[in-house]
Amino acid sequence: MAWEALRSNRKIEADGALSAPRGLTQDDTSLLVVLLDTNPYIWSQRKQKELEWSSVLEHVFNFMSAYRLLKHENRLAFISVHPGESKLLYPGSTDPTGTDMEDIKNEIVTQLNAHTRNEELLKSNSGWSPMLSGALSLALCYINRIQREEPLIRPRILVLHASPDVSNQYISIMNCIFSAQKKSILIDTCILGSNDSPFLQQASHLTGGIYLKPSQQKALLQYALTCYLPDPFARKFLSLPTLTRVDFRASCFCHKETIDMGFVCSVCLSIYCGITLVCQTCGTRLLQMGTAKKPLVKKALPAAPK
Amino acid sequence: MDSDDEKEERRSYNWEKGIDKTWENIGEDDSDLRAQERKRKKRSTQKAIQNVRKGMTRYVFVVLDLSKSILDKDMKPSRLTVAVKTVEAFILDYFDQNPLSQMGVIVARSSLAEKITELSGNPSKHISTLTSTSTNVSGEFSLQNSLEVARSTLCYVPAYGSREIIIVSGSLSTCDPGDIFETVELLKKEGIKVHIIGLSAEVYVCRAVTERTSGSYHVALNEPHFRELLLNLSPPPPSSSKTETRLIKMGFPQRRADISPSLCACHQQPKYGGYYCPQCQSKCCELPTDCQVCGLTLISSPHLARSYHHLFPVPYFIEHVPPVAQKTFGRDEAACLSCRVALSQAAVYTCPQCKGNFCTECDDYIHDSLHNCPGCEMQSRHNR
Ligand SMILES: [Zn+2]
Ligand SMILES: [Zn+2]
Ligand SMILES: [Zn+2]
Ligand SMILES: [Zn+2]
Ligand SMILES: [Zn+2]
Ligand SMILES: [Zn+2]
Repeated sequence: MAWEALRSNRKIEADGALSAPRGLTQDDTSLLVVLLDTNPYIWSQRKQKELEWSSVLEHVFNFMSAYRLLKHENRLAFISVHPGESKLLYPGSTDPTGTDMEDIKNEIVTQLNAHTRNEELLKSNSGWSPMLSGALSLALCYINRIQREEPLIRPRILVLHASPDVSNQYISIMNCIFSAQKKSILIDTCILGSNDSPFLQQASHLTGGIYLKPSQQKALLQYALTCYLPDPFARKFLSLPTLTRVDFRASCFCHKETIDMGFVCSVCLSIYCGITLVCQTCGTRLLQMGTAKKPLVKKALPAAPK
Repeated sequence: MDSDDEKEERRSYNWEKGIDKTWENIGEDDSDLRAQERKRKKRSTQKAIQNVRKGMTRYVFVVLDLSKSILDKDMKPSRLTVAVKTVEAFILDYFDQNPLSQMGVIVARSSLAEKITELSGNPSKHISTLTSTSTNVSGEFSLQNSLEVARSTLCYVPAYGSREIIIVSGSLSTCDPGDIFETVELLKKEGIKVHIIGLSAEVYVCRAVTERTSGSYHVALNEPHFRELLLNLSPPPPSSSKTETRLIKMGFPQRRADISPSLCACHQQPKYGGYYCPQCQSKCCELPTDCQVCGLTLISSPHLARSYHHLFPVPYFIEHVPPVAQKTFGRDEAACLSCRVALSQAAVYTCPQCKGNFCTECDDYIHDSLHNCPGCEMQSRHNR
């Protein structure tokens, strides 16, 4: 499979960790954390062929109940990816008696309404971007807690995202991805907006999840049931969508622009698109680039100026 | 090198210390230990924040002593098993924390040193080679030969990198062909640091070598202590004033899967997918690497990003021992901001930037693994 071909050698660590403690079996209890983009601005700007907010919610709830039907012990969590504040909507701070899907649904909808009430002032302000990094951090902390209580649970994350990537979240999102990779948490992503998300592509690629941008949004539930519902064990037997191209280019610290060649400070690894004399992150004076490596080594090394 | 008397004396000293320590630990209250652990961590976090200048590009040779002394049974099940396992853990941790760095492995046995892997950034190769080589144990340990073999490669690595040799040795003697202090002088000149972890007792020559090359020397008391000592060497060290600081030109190639196979520059074999050098368009199979054709350093951005948490560490959370019913983000529940657990009995940790309250578990997880404060992440327009 192309997935196999796409894996870099560094990925082996994560793969090793995945199989090391316990082999994958069919009847593992799992924990699914759903992250849904609730940016009101994006959902009010839907184009003709794109799915409306209310139907997206309906599809997501149906998917969640299908997930619960797989196994009685399966656990669910729901986090809104909202401008300004992401929030764990289910299980809420209230008594978690909602074992019925209808109760879960009601709880989430009530909280969503309370959460999205003061939207009016945000509607026009596109400068407020949803905090995907915050929501992912929340999800990982929550998973960490559940894993402490139930060490055998198999966690995974499903991100349904419509807003564009925000470049200054790059480092925080990468931190989340690496932490998920270390804990063998799959991140599946579903893009409901018009553009691909390089951040989420990397998230799925590095954690072994599935990245999908459905061409027919009306069939969202169908995509979700075939791709995201099967657990990692069942996925081994399925032919699932693969990424043929992952954008691993970096963005420079100075202009936040994507570059495929750049200059990196040898002390702190900050990326610059042009030559700078002083690194803006660590304040080190930087010598000019040398051309050949060996003669430089042979010279006596002068103490670098601080 | 050491007199028998001295060996005896030091051995019993270490042994006594080991017993003392475990005794103390048992005697102590669990929460006390935990508090101590946290204090220790706090100190190291603060240190990390103070010192941004780190040697992010490291070139390290790990030397494992496979002389007969490694077969001793004072560690369970044997020194060899413990040493190999711990070195493996170190290799993984090293590449996790130093994504752009390289490492090579040397084994020392029969008075010789043999380089079993060249400097490279591929952890699985080091581990598999080490596992297959470590079955063969023989002869004596030679410190000088080990240092010479490592030096012969390390003196050619780029000057901006930090050069280190890490030796794990259980021997109390070394079988050298010449004057070891001549080698030490050469190491010093090249700016190579030597760290040694002893498994039995302190040996004078090891202490001398590490002191002269400004490295560190420790003798492990027991298995967990050995692990701690070795893993302490994996975070990037503060960059020494000797290393050059410069801008390195790097390429960030994109991964492409091709329909028809084409030759790769590294193995000269037809391959389907690969990374294409942005400067000369030649194809290579693995990252990070130097382009075989134009010499450009090729890496992927996740490799760089793996180390950025060293640059932008999460501030240390302030501990409140009794619970404070403080308002977090306008919500009046006293629950952990990230996992929603009630903060009634346990200590509360508050982020100095976003004022969010967290539980002990989340505090640990945020600082040890996640490196993001969920509260700060949600305050929209923070600048990073
Ligand atoms: Zn720039
Ligand atoms: Zn710098
Ligand atoms: Zn190749
Ligand atoms: Zn090239
Ligand atoms: Zn918590
Ligand atoms: Zn904070």
